[in-house]
Amino acid sequence: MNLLDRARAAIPQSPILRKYLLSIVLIACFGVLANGAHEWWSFNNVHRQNLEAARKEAVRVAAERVADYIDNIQSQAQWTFLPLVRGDEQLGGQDWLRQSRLAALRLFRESPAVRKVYRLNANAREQLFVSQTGKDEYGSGADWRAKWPFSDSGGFAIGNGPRSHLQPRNQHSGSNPFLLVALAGSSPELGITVLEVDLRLLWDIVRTTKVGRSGRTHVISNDGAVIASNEMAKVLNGEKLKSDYVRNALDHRTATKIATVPGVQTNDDKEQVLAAYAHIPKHDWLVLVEVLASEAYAPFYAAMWNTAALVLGTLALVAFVGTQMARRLVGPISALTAGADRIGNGDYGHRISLDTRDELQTLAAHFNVMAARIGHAQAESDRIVAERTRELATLVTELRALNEVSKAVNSSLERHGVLNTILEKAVELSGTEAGAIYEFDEASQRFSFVETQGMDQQLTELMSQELIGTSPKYVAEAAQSRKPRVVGDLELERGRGPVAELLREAGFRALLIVPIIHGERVLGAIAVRRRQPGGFPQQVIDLLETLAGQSALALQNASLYEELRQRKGRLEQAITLLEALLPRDIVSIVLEHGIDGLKPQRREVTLVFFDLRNYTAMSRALEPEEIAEALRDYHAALVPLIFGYGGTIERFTGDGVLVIFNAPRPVEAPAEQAVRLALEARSAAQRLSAGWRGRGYELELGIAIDQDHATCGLIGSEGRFDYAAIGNVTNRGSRLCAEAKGGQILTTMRVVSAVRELAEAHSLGKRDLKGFSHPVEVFEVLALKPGAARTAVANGLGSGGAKDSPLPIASA
Amino acid sequence: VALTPKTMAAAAVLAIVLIANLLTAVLSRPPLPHIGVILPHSPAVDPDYKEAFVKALGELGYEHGKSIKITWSEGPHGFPGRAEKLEEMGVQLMVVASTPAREAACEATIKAGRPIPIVIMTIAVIDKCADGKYRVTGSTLEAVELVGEQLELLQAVGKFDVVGVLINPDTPRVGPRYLAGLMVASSAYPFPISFPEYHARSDEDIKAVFAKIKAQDGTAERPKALMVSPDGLYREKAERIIKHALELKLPTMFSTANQAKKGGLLAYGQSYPEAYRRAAFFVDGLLKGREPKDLPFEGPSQITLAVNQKTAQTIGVPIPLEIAVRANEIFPP
Repeated sequence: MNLLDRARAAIPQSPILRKYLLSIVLIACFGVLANGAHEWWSFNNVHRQNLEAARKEAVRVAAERVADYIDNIQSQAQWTFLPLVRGDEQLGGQDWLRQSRLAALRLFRESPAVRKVYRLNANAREQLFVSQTGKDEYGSGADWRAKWPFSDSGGFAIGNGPRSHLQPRNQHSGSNPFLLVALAGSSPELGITVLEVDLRLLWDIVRTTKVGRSGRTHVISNDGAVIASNEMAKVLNGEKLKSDYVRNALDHRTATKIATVPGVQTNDDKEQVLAAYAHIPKHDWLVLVEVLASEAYAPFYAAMWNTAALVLGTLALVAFVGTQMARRLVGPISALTAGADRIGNGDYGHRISLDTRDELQTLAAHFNVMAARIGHAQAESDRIVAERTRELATLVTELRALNEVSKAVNSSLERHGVLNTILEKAVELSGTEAGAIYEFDEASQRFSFVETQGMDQQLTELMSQELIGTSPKYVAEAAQSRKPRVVGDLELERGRGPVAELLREAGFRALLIVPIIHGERVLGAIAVRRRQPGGFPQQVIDLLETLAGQSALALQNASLYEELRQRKGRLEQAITLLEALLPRDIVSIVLEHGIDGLKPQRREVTLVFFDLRNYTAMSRALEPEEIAEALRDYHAALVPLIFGYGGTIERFTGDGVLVIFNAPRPVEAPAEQAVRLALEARSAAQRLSAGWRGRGYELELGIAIDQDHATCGLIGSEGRFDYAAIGNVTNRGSRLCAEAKGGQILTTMRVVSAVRELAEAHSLGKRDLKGFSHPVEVFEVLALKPGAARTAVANGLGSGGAKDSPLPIASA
Repeated sequence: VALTPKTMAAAAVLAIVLIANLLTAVLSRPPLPHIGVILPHSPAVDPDYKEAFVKALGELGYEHGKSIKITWSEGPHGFPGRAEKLEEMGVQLMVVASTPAREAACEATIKAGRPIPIVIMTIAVIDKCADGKYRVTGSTLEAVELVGEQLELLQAVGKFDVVGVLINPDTPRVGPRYLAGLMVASSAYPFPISFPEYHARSDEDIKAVFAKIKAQDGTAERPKALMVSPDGLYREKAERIIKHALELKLPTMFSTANQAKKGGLLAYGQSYPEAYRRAAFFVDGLLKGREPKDLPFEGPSQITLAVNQKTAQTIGVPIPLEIAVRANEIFPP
């Protein structure tokens, strides 16, 4: 996991919406629920009390009104007890009754509920009957004592204050239920007045004293019979209330004047009610007030519903608003997060778009600025990288080209190939279509094509013709100023000479010409041509200058090479000559080590002496040409053999040849080489001798081999040096050679002991040699031993075909 | 809160939801209870009755067009057609204020096979509508039963041994019973009283009746007073009757205070405004789902005596003390 991944893994999944919402909802819930709890509390502590108070008040008012109503009727009825006098005159029976009737008629008007008025005497005999609905009667004498519960039941106690009596409805007549109210006069002779009161008139009183819309108010007698009710049907049907609470209230009616019935009760209509009652002692009636529990509690339920609705509404509102607010908060944050993520992933062009007009928007703006900066920096860096890459690529291309050019320059001294490569690269790298390399001839002061590129044959020829006559102006300018010459548009450069015209006609518009300069010399020029007008970047100019430098180098190399080649040729000629004239090894050593390589030094050398017998005699007898021819044959046979065995020809002395082994160049087993040479040479000489004998010369080769220390080196003085071995051995060998007969190989003990394994030799005994004080034992080498035959050692120093193969002497 | 398209869209959605809820509430609201009221008189006559009814309904929480729909059918004629029309309109109950109207309503509901409740303000139901299968309740106007008292009051004004009785031959439930009641009541008097009948069902009839009475001038048959039967038609034609009666200086006894107010000498009977007021309570009970049988018929709760002193002066009769002390309404000159 890299750093970026780790950083990404550390980004938490934001639950701000949930947290935010939850906290808001909790706070709001708390508030609303607290309110609900308070309402519940206030209901229990206030609403119930209010309800009770309202019931009590209603029942009190109803009781008072009912009592007042009856009292009012009774007081009105007092008019029927008018005194039996008019002025001073006591009224007699009929007059008094008429008076009484008028009072009753007036009572009808004052108290519409009074339907009938009975005037009875003290014995309950009817004296007068006045009715709203029927014919009035005087003195019918009807006895009502049996019909109405006078005295003995305690209801109608004559002379004992007003009494009322509920009379059930007379169903068959369809008449209204009524109440009988009896009043006794202050004296027995005033008799009794009985009023029939329509109970429905009480309806208006109870109707207006109910509690609430569905409240009921009943007035019942002490046995539960309904006297008045806002439900008229109960009165009309003569119902009796029997429900538990009513009975209970009746039982306790005398104890309390006004009381509320605790709890919810069920009334006769099976309704759940809250009730209160009041007792009217005068009539022993009970006034009941009932409120439907559902209605009584309705405000509470409504409040509870309101609270619930409020809770839900608040929750919904809070959820909505909270979500919106959280969205407003989280949305921008998400946008910021997403934006930051995108920017983090490199999308620097991304802009976070927020319109919250708060700090978040500011933050987004800062983000955007940051992204813009990063993007800008990134773009800049990309641009720089691209530029650098491009530059590098160009450079690489150029370097590669230059490398190729360099390679070409270095690998070949052949000018055409190199210049062609250079021109090719110049055209390619400068982005042009054509180009040419001119060479400047100092002698004629003219430029001529060396290489062309992108020019057809015709143009080349035409230009070449023009170039013969004059130098192209731009090239000449460039050469003269020794600086690159840029021509932006040939169209604007009319009249600059025929070459320019040709180029323009060929469709070229822009030119870049760089002189090829070496030191102070102008060698030529390199030019590129483009069909597109315009300038050339400095880079191209620089490149072309570099290529011009390379061209200069190529041109210079080519001329140097040419010079060198010529010198080498001359040298080779000289060496060949030298080698022919001097011992080959001498020449090679001098070439290798100079003259010092031939400084005299002492070393053991083996010398081989060749000398033709009878040469002196024959040279007198023969023509020099013949002698020269013989010598040529002789040398031609001998010289390759000498070189083949690695010997160095010290000198030719007419017929004599002195060969040195182990000097100036060391030779391995010089004695053996010398012996082999000698044997080979003897064979060759014998073949020559046969030829010569045919022509009449008796020439045979005598050979001597000796080995000893000698000083070897150049001897002589300024002007003439020779390589020579100076020492006793030279003399001794020479003397031995003189001793040798034709075909004989003489040698000394020293040599024989060195080649004991190789060759067979026998001693010829000691001989006195001229110039030596002591006789020297002389040996003759006869032939190679059979085992050693033809194991020639190619010393490697010989440059010719010095092999054991038969020499091509015969053919010569 | 910024007015972004998002919030505007949310507000729009909210508004649409609210309007939709409102519409659904309006559309799904149960239709208003629809009652039909058949009044036996023209709108111009006795407008206070209608007002009393509407006022009482209002006190009970019914307002036309808001919580109740009331279709009025007013006029003295064509009850069967009118009742059928209300029935066809699909009223939930009918209120009828005259005996022929009640009979027409009963017939209409029988015909429709749909016995809707009927609230009456008529004389007691003694016809087939009294059958339990019809759903009738209301106040009985004991105008006929009060005939004895009417006669007594009239006799207090003067000794009238010939009392003309105006009867509508089209309402057999009213006229004959009224007349029969008078016959019974008259027996209590120490002198014989005759009750010549006069039938009238139209203006022409009324004119003819008074022409006939005028023609009887000077004869023993000429009525000394006129008792007008408590017929809806005569409430409608009260002014015409009174005009003719005043021309003949004929004391009259009507049954409603309004008739006395218009010039009738006396009027005694059930208080009509009170009856209309009570009718509202029956309507309330029935609309609340009570069955008519649970709402017993009621008799008159208030009986009114009205005297027109101006008429008394015009025709030259005294107002006796027993009427004066008792009169609920006295219309002074």
